Amino acid sequence: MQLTKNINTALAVATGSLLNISTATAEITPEWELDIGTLYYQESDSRVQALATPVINIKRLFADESSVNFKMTFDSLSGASPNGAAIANVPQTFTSPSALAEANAASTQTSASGNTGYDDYDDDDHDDDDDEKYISAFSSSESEGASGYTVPAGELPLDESFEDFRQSYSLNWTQPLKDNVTMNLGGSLSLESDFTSMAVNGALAKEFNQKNTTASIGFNLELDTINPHGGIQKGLGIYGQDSAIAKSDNKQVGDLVLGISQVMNRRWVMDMNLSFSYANGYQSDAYKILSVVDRGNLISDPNDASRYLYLYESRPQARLKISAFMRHKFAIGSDDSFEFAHRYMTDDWGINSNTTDLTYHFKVNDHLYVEPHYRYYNQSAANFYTPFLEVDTDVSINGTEVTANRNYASSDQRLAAFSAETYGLKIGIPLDKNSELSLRVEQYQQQDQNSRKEVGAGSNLDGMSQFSELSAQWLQLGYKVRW
Amino acid sequence: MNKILILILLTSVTGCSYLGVKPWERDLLAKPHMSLEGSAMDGAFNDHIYFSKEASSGGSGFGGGGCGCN
Amino acid sequence: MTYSFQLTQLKAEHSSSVAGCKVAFSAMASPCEVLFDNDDLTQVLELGLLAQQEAQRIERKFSRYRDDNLVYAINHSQGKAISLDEETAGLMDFCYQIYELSEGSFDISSGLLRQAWHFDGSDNIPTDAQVEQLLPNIGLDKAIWHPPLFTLPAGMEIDLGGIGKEYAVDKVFELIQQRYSGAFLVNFGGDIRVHGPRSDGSAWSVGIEGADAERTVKQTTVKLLSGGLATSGDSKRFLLKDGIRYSHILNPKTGYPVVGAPRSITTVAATCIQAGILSSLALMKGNAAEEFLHQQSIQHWSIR
Repeated sequence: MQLTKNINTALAVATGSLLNISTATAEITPEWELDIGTLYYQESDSRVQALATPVINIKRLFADESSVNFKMTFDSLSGASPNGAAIANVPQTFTSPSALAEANAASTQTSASGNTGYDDYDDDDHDDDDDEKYISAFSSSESEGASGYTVPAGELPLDESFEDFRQSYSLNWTQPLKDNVTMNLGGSLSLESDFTSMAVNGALAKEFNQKNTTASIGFNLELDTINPHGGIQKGLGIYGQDSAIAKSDNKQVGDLVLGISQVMNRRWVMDMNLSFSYANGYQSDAYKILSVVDRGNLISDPNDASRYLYLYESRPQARLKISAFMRHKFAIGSDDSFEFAHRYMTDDWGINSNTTDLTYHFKVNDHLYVEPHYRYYNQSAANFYTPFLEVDTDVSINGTEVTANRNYASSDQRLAAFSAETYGLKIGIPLDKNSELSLRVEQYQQQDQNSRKEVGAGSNLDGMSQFSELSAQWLQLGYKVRW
Repeated sequence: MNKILILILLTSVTGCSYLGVKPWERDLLAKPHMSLEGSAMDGAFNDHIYFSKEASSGGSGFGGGGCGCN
Repeated sequence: MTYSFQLTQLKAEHSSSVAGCKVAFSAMASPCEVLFDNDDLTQVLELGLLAQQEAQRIERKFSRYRDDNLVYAINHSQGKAISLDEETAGLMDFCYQIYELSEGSFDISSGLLRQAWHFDGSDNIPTDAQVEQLLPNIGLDKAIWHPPLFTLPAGMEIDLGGIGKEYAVDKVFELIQQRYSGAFLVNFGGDIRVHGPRSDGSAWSVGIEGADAERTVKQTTVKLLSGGLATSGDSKRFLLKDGIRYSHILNPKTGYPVVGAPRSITTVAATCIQAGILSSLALMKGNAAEEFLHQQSIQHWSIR
């Protein structure tokens, strides 16, 4: 009888847990949990971005197993972001959006507010001070000044001046109800100088099968207001004409998530979910443009021969995303684990993506664990993605009239086809039963998977890269404690 | 891949009683490194970075507040 | 109920010097004692009182004979769910685990069978009908254990007597060990747990009854450095009819005594509870008792 052989071991395990549970140990039931983290992020290839992000998360737990969670995030970006124009073998000049904004503000400023140093409560002065602060802090050189910047031949056009500071706050309440049902309610607010987001979320979860199965349903409703420096431009309108159609615009997003988690056996737990996200409203990147190209050559703006022709990008007003996600976690030995996760996403912009995440948790001793991590990602391009616009096919030029022959276009690399790999390592140092220090480093590398768009031999774009493979590294320091 | 997905979906939805553990068999699953959510902070940082560099977002739940970067 | 408490200084066997102290009291219908390898009477008194308190606490909490405790509430719950505290929940988890490990032989809901079986040495064996009418109310799988709620259907009852004493031994052992680093021995009516070695390096000597190859019962001395020892079985309780001896070890699944069980089994294991469970499980195996213990690599003595 097989069972006979194992009885003693199983019995020892059972006795062990019996005598341990009942013994009064000094194990605290935490009331507070504090999690502090900070992230340092940078990109290679002269798209240097240093992002220092302190995050503070505080959670208060109550005796009835309910809890309240408050989180604060402060992102400060500095550096450059591609403006969407194509790399060419000639220098290109652009106007920075906040410079445009300042130019606009300056033209309406009255002489009464000339005493900038003295009167802090004058709104106009305050805005100017802020803009100047951002430009001087984040521009790579003083000589670029407020009127624009020039990108040398062969370099990726990057706009350095308008990234700024973001603060976000969220509050969440978890409350167990009767019948093994738990409810979640939360709200969040995110603020940047050109973007505001407010959201509410809620979820219900129910446990079955002696808490082996949990089914949940959740929603998130978000309202975003975009008020870019320089205003909202007409989609596929001409760049540089200072022709904003509105100061701001907005979008609404609704998400629905259905999930199930299931304990499979003593060593295996998994969860999966299906999510739907529908966004409606202004989805374009207000600062991004596309080069208009004639068989590979940049062409002049018919309204201003001193500059090349660029059009603002335009994205559809609606986007529906569907994601299927699954995660498995396995206990290895008594102190290690292995996790495998996969997400498939598809949307009505023509983007399909796959994300695979593998993580191994390895306990070295009571005060040290390591977690190597690998992530593989690929995505197809949005159906309106193009690295640049073609004359005649995409854009018709009749004298000074420029007409787009398509509704949508964007050269934003985030909508292109690429794959990416991340290699990472986390080191955790539990200081005692209730606190832990951690360090995490990750290396991210993208790979171009776009088909090359044909350009004429010897043209401005001949031999120029049409997708700049992003390479980034980030380092995260964390400390968590509970009491 | 699809077949495995469907199989797992079916078995977990029907809530078979042979899937799962008794309360006293949760010794390993109760350990922090076996928690499915993992470190919320790591997840939040990662999500924010990938959200600003890639076209997909979320999947394992939704975080609070968007940002003007996608 | 009066509780008496005795503290004695022991004399060494071979000399007139003091060799430790002993605390004795009565609990769980058994003589209980704790032996300390220690001459500090004050400390022994303190620890001994602690041991008595804990033994009595466990008795009060889990005894089937009281009408003011959780067990009474469960047995009179009429099918309503009762919320168990952490300690009782832990014991319930344990009982379920053993129930499964033993494939239903160890069952805390089987006490109901005493309504049919009265082991007084007479020939009053119950009729089949008497036994069968009890069976629907026996079987731990009929109760619902969804921590922390335990639901016992009306008509059923639970009895923790099968592990109560051994559990008390292990709990008292832990209490003392947290406060005292010397050697000591806990003995509640034959269920023993020791912490050694003694100050002179020797092990604790425990006398037990075992049978040799010729089935002669004799006293053996077991030397224990650490661990638990328990004895199951009592040769004085049985029924005898038509030349067939019915032992008092009942199979919860059939309602009838196990055939061929030894009269007594003593086992040694890491804790007293383990020793107790193993000796109980062995008895349930009837003729295969010794073979079962042998397979578990457990030191054991049996009397048939």
